[in-house]
Amino acid sequence: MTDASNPYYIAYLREKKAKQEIEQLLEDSIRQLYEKNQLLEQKIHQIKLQQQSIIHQEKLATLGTLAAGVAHEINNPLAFVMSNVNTLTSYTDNLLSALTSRSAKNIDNNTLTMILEDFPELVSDTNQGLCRIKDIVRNLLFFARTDAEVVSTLQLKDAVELALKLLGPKLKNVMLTHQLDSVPTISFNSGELNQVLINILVNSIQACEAMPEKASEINVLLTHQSNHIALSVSDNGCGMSEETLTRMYDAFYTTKPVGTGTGVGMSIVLQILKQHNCDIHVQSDVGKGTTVCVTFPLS
Amino acid sequence: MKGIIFNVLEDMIVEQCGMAVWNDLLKKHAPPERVYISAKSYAETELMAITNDVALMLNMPLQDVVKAFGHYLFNGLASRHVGVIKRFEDFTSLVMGIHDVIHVEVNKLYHEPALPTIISRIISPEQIEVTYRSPRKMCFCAEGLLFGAAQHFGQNITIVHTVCMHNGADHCILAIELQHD
Repeated sequence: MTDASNPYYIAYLREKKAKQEIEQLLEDSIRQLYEKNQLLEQKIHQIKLQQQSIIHQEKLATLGTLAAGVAHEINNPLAFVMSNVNTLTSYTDNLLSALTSRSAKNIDNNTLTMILEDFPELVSDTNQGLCRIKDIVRNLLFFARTDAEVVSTLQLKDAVELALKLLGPKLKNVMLTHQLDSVPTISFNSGELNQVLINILVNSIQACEAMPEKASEINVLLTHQSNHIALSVSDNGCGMSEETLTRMYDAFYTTKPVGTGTGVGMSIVLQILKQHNCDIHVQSDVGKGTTVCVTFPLS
Repeated sequence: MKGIIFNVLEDMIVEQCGMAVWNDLLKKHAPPERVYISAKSYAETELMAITNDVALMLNMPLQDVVKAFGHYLFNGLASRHVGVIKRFEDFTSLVMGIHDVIHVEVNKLYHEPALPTIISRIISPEQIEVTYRSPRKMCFCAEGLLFGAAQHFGQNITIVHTVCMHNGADHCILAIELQHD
């Protein structure tokens, strides 16, 4: 009996065909799954790009918040530098005029004495003012870096002081108390540290602004604990409900009016802190205030 | 080696030598109760041992048996993946699409298929050069596959195996000559 007429062979062929059809179905499903997975990966890539764009916008928004503080910090020294330069110009005109006419008679002795006494001080003050502006710009450049992903060794105290200084105009109606201990250095990306500090402080300020009937108070405490550094920011502002507390790290969740907040601030803060192995703990009571405590590992 | 290759080998042997021969070969060269599933991987030594035995049985050089299997394999694969083959309008486009289309499709279906590296280059309208690299050194199977593809598209070809891994080279070159009427 040949294979072709063997009933077992016919059954074998039938079974083989059935197996092939099942495998074909499986392969079709696998192919569809693969293609859907590819689409999903493309979407994830797009979402990541959009998230990066939002994070970048948030960083720019933080810089915008700082702009007023920077302007204020620069304006003070700039005002006296300009005043000094005006006076120095006037003195120089007098001296040049006297030199040109080859006679000191154009300047009386009192004026000459005053110029000689005043000149070095004016130059020194102007120089100090320019140095202050230079420092402010240098600090701003250091803390406002949005591109670098480099982790630097930083003095947290300096960063907190700078953030408070730059937020000066926003804090003018707030009773600010702070105790900033000298703590060991931390390893952190400078731009991102600024992002974290500004976000937390601005949230506190806004929480206080939401309670205009109450005198605003913010307390900043930086301490060195046994195995970490703790930074706490407490305010007596509006506080948060249980729901807000649970959702505060959700991207795009905001309690602010439409158009005034992106809702990604605290989400980014959490992301940055996680990347740097830091913890954040928030305790809040509606109508009483909020305390945000960030712990930084020792580097 | 993916099970689908064994499935096509089984088809060929059962078709040409009968079911009993396939059963004997399996009994001799595969673990007991071996079942080949297309998407699973199996030791290529099983395939080589079976082909070797077939060559001895038919008193043919192993290379010829492997080449004949490659020819048969093309039809087996093409009948299972009609959609992929339909994407090519002629033999040349298929050869030029081995790396960018066929292997991409294989990678979609099978986990770690251990494909050979194939680089195809059009030398002239009548000549295509295929460079083959694989630790399995299945270049004669590749040659058979190319003959199978040519037959599928009604294209007459000759292949000269100018450089071969079996002669100590680190790659093979298959120089294909297309014969136009």
